[in-house]
Amino acid sequence: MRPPKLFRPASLAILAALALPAFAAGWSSFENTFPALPCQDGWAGCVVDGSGHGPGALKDAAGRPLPADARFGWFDLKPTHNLSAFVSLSAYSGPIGGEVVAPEPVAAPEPVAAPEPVAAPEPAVADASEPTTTAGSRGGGTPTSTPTNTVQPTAVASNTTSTTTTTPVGTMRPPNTPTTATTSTTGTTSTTASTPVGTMRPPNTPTTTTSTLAPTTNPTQTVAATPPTTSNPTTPPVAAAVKTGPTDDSCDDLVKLEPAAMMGTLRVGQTKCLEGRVNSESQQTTKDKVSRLMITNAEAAGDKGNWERLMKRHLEDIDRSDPDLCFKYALHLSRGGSGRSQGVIRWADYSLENKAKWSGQTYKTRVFSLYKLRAEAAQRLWQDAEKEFAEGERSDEKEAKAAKYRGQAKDYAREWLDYAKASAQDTKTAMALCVSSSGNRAFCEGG
Amino acid sequence: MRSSMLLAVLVMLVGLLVPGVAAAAKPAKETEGVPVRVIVLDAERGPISTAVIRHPLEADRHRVNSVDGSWEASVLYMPDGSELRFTPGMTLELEISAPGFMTQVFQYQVRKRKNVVELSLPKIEMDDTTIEEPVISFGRDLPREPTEAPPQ
Repeated sequence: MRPPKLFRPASLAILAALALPAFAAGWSSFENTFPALPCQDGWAGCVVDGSGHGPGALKDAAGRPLPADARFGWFDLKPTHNLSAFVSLSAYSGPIGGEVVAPEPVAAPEPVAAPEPVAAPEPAVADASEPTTTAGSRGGGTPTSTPTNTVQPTAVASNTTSTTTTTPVGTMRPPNTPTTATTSTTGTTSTTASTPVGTMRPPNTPTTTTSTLAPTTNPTQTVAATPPTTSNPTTPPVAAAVKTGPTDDSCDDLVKLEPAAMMGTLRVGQTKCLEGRVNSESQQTTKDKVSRLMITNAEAAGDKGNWERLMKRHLEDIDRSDPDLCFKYALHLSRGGSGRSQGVIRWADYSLENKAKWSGQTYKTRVFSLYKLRAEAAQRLWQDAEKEFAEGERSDEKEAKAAKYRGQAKDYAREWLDYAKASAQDTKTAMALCVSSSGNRAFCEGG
Repeated sequence: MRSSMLLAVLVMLVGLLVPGVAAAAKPAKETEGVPVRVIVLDAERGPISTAVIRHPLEADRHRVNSVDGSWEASVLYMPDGSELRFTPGMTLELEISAPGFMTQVFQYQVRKRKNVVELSLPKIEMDDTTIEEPVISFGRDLPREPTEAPPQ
């Protein structure tokens, strides 16, 4: 029996030939073999490990072809150039358009944190009637003995009590008690020096010969001049003896105290007297003068903690109409981290309220700085709020807080930018803050 | 004879239609868009948890994953109601910002796959060391200037 015509070989061949186009593969079917953009950074060509790389087929170690974007060899399973999906963009390091290659800028050195201020020494007032003498110094030698943990008693003869007392080494001498001589029981030091009390010196350390009449005003220099304690840093150093005369701690004449305040050398008695006047004075203007004197003294003495306390009291309780004081306090707070950003904004605002007291270039630079301080503080607040929302447990409250601080940061950045533009000052950082907080360059560039 | 011819024509038609059906199925997959993944890092290659990504024409800002700083999408919804699907070959423009960092706008040509982009944002330098501190003045009473006697 003959098969039907449809199933004859000739018919089947014709059918197969007609069906072939339907099953034929298009060029798109070979995209896996010849990818158009094989490079990791989305380009058609790139340099990987120093060799050019493009859409052409890769070859493994044995020379067998592989797809251009294959990560492993099909036959040997060895990694290809494309193994890492996280390669960074290849940079072009050569000169562009014939320009000369500029040298890499040298990185600025990291700012070194300022050393903590050494405990402010009690000011020793040079008394012309009492020439200071320095004797018994062994001068310039390197100490051979090292301090120990044992507390060594020191005989201190005081001219105020005319008695010889024995105090342990390193105990703090009460203020305003001039000592005439210190005799160490070790017998290695016997010095009468003009160094102010509080000058730090390790025990058994020979003192350098000094013949200055004026007191040493910078205690840190004295510390640097003495050899460091090496064996036991916890051993308290010996306080050098100081010879001073009777002191006048009255504070009636404020003008007379100004030079000492500018040097930061007001005595404890004087500052106590001033403190008493601040509390007892009835006139606000007098309180203002006394408080300023104390603030100046604390600043010159490098006593930041006390300075901040005095400044805060002055601005909160006495007077905040001086834009300089508000500005200075806002600047101080801005260096204290994001926790003080609210304070920065507050005192910058108070300072800006009275900016009319400035004029000329002072006005321009101060107002610019205040806008800057405020915008940066707001940026830090926003940054913290966003971090709290993103990294902590998310809530609507936190999101609203972040949005509020973002709005504040945007407003302050825009105000800073506007003033910088108007006064022809640097707008780079202001623009960056504005764009960052608003998320819209057009908003910041708009007139 | 006639029936066999009919069958042959039927087979041919089916054969011709198969690629068409396959072609029709392909765009259905493309409507989903190609996923693009953006990883936002700082200068030390650490993820920026607070970064947001936005298309310049878009109203919403998309937060990145706070753990790895990544964001992934295959379509964006524009304010006019249109949808912007990421298709291979298209150039995508995105604006990346984070508080405390410089905002960056970058363009990326979408590939068929493996659309992973790492972007590092430089920090905004907030330096107040250049600010000149005012000097606190003492509270002095200004002496009253003598006035001239009025003309008689």
